[in-house]
Amino acid sequence: MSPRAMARKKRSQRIPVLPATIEPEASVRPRGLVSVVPMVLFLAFLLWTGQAMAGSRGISAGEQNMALPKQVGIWELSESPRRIEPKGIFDYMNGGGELYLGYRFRYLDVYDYRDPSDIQILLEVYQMEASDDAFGLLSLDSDGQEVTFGGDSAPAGRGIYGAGLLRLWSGDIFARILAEKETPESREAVMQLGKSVTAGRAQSPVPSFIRSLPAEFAGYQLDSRQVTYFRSYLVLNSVYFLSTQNILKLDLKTEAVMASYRSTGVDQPKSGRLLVVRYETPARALAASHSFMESYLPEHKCKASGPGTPATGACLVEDGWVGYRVIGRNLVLAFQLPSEQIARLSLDKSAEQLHNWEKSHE
Amino acid sequence: MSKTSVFTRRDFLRSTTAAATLAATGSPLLSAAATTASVLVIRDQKAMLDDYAVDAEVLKKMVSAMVMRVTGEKTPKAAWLSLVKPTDIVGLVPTPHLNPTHPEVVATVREQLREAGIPDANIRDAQGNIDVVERCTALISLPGLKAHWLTGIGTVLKNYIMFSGRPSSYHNEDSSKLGEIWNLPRVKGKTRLVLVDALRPLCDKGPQPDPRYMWPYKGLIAGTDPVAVERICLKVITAKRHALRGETWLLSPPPFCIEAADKQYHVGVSDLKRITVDTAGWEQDLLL
Repeated sequence: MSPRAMARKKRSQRIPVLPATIEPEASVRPRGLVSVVPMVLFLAFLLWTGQAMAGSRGISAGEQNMALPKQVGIWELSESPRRIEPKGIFDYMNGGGELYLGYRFRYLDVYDYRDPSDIQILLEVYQMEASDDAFGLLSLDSDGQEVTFGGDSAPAGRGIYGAGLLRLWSGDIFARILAEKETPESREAVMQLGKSVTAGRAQSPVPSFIRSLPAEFAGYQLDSRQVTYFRSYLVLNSVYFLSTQNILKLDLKTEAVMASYRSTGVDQPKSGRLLVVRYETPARALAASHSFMESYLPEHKCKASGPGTPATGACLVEDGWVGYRVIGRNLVLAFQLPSEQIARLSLDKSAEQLHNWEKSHE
Repeated sequence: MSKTSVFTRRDFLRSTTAAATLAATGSPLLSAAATTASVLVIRDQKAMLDDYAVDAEVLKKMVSAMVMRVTGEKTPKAAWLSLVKPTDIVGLVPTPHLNPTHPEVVATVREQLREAGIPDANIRDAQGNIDVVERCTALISLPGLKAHWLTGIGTVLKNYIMFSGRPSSYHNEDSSKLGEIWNLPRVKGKTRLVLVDALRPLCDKGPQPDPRYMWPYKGLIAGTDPVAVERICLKVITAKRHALRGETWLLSPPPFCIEAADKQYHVGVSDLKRITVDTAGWEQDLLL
């Protein structure tokens, strides 16, 4: 058996695929007693094997929320598509699943296309709770060629392509379309699949919260390709390691943006960072700022005082000045800045922008 | 939240500054008869074809050269027999999926073990199977080289995560504890060789494959000290990241598991100054 065949056999052994179909007529078959009994037995089998299946199963035609081709170029859909539920995502991608669970993830549909030589194009469609979550996944990495789907008049999706991988955001879905080998033909097929995924969909705007970031402060310009939207401290650590623990008390109910700012000044460090987190309530924002102070700036006393007084300050640490300020439900943190003055200016500018954004948002 | 369990960016910066100072000034603690380790990096420009298919014949020669060089023996048979006995139950532990170990690497090791006199029935696929690993008397770890978004690097130390029986408890802040798995009774002392598949590594966004960050390094990285091998893997990945961006591009989060595996769990050597790197073969873009 060839190595490729061995790998394929192993793959099929690893992820059990239940009988499934994408034939449209499958969902309208008559269901008399004869057909119901096997269905009951099949459901019992599903329950019995529930542990082994661990959240991976085939998708019926009725469950498909997009019309995907059975063939694209020389690539044919080779297996029944399968659905990965949140509880099964670790079986599918080990610790990689934490990334998607760090956003509001509902399920993942996997489509496996093969050419006659068994070269794969893998399509993964991540169904997220909301468009913001899907956008967040795209925002993690901007390396590559920007691609849009649907045109200016009816945008349906936005993606980034590089080396055979298209990462795609369209409304509440995030998709990865990966060609095992990049060729002009596979690139075309990947783009065709991107079109199919986005067909008939209306694109959503980027998360409004991103507009809470100032465009510039004290000679530092926002680097729009380095703006990450997230909810989880694990995702934060993957873009900017802050702490092994969740010291900012992030969870799926918080929104956060981390942005890089590039300095135009000659004697200044090249880049600084702003992190803005929006909590459910002002009390949670204040609690998070206290947690941050206690863990990150333990030698500095938090200057938060009575009600109505914002917690704010700036401290010199190992890699520059850190600024912090609570503004209503929001906590703003500035990192790696060259002086106390610039750290405080960054906070002032952020406060101004947040107020403007909240006004327009409300 | 327990204050003692929090390790922040500032702690990390302080520890790396301290390490740099020690390296510059010389540390009596480090220079005092400390344990050392040796790691081999062997590469062949012809190990992969243009379409990233592995040339099995070239690979066989690389594996033979690797095992002789790591053990100091003169033939592959003698080399393998210095690592395992015909009576051993030998568990092979490749990365099973998501940038998996190339099947040709696993097949070559299996074939050479057989040729050395290890009965086929005594060679097991031990990955992910606690029952099998418990029965094994020797393990050969065969991970694929990749960065990992949760742990910084997801290669050698992480390769035994399923042997813990509770992999998710090593995900988040607890990923630094990966070294403790190597001290579990079912694992401890069994690993005779760590052979990392660095034919086409992944230097960012792992474990999911992302070809933007994969490159044909066409190498194997091997040794008997898992921590030292992981440390050299990290060096290669980090150098590749800097080369890709043209500026410093450190892994985030930092791979705390490597130093912890040395200093907390005593699984091997993490200090680069105590690791000898032996190189063989293709030298272009060696990244060391």
